[in-house]
Amino acid sequence: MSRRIVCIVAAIVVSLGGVWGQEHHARGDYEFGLYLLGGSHLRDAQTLATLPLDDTQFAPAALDTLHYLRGWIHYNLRDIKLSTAEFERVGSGSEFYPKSTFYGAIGHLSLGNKEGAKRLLDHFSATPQADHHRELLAFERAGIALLEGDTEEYNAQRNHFTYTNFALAEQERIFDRIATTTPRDLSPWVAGVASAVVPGLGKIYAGNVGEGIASFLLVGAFAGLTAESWAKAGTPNNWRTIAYGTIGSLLYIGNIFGSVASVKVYYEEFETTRSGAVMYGLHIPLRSIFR
Amino acid sequence: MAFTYLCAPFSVSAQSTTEADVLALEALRLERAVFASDSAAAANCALLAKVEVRKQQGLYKEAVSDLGRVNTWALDAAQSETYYHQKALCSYLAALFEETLATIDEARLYLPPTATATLRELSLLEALAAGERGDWVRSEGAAMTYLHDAPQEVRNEVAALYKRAPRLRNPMVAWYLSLVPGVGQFYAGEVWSGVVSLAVNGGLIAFGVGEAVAHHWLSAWLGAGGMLSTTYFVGQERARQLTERRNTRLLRNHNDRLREILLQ
Repeated sequence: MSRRIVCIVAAIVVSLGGVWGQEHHARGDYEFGLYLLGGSHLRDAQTLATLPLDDTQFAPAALDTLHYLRGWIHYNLRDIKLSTAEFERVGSGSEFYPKSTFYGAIGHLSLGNKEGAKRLLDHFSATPQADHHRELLAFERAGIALLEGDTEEYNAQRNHFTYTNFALAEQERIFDRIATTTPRDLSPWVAGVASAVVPGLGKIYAGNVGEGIASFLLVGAFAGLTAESWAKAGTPNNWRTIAYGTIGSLLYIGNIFGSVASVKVYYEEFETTRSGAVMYGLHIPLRSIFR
Repeated sequence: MAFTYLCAPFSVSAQSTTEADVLALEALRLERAVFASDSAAAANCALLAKVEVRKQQGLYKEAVSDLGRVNTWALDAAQSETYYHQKALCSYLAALFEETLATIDEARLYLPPTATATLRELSLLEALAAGERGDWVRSEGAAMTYLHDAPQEVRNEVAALYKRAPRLRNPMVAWYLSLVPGVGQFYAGEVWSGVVSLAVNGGLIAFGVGEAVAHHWLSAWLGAGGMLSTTYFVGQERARQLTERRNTRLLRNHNDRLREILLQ
């Protein structure tokens, strides 16, 4: 009987020792990976991150460390697709789980997959580790709501902002400013008609002052050339007037269409700038919180 | 320090599908040895071995970077020779010619005169690197040092090659000469390009003068003047680029021939 107990205890000790050993070794790989990134040995880091990884060969804790390591290396190498896939595989029992979740969510957003980001954050919110990151969770969800243009959801998440957390306060205020900033109400018709009356005026209306002045000068110059050659010859039927007039007319028509397009470009640029500011803002607190 | 994750791939590296994979793994293994090393001497051994792998990978800039991490105070005499030779060679292969020449200067300070074989190899690299910089005096001196045991006919051939060394032209001189359209291109040796530049700019000046004589002032100033301002400044920039291209071409031809003779 006592021999059986000794055998069982020995088996448990050996098993636990194996798991501990694996985690210890995975730690060694983890530190080596950080050393490669810190020393800018990016080519070696890439080799390390793309080594085949057989999930069946490792205990869960060691596997989580290795997936996190691979994800972090790919993230530093700007390979967002691979880093996101690795971050997603880090289990909820790992100490790297919160960081992996938030960086994984950012990765999904960078890839244009808002649903993937929301799914990761929803899963995280149901784990005990979320209790330490409630405000960050609300901040990231608020950012996604801004990207989706969902004001109601943004206001719901904003209620969790305390504006006192050193890592989050400034970005929370910036998000509030972004949420209340709307584009100017511009009409492509107004831009087109304005440029038909005064070349370049439609572009100035859309906010492109430099382009508007350039259009005005160019069309004006050809109008002047055409008028001069017409006046000197006394008739429009001469090569100079026809050549200058044709080029001037094409530039005039192009200036009208360009002004119409510039309104569309204005809205696209506004949206791109806004999304860029939100994506940038989502990153900033992560660097402080998961230093 | 133990590494579970890395052990399996290293043990099967020989079975990897491509040679590139094997070399990348070997480089990683050696970097791990640097990371795990407990002395500067051990780290140096791993770094020098890694440089050999980098050369096989054709990653010369990375090899130079790895050599930059070598602790030169912990090198023995043989390793010092290897270090300077590899650094000069990899810098040259990475087209870092200034760094090659600086490494050779440093090696002459630190290597003993008894390291004759290495110093001779460094003379070869000095001749080639100085040639790439267009420094014919230094290049010829180094080439003759390298060839001091070579047959006289080879030495004569190299001396004749340096007598025919191309005279490089200053791209900025070409730019200034192009204040008169076409002259910068002639200076760069591009006669037809100069003729075209002269014709285009001359034609536009003639057109502008004709328009002015006919009292078509806007046409003269805005039409001819507008186009001329473009062709004139583009011509200047083109003359500068053509001179740079000419210098590069002449350097390449001369250095190809020099390399051919010296490496025979």
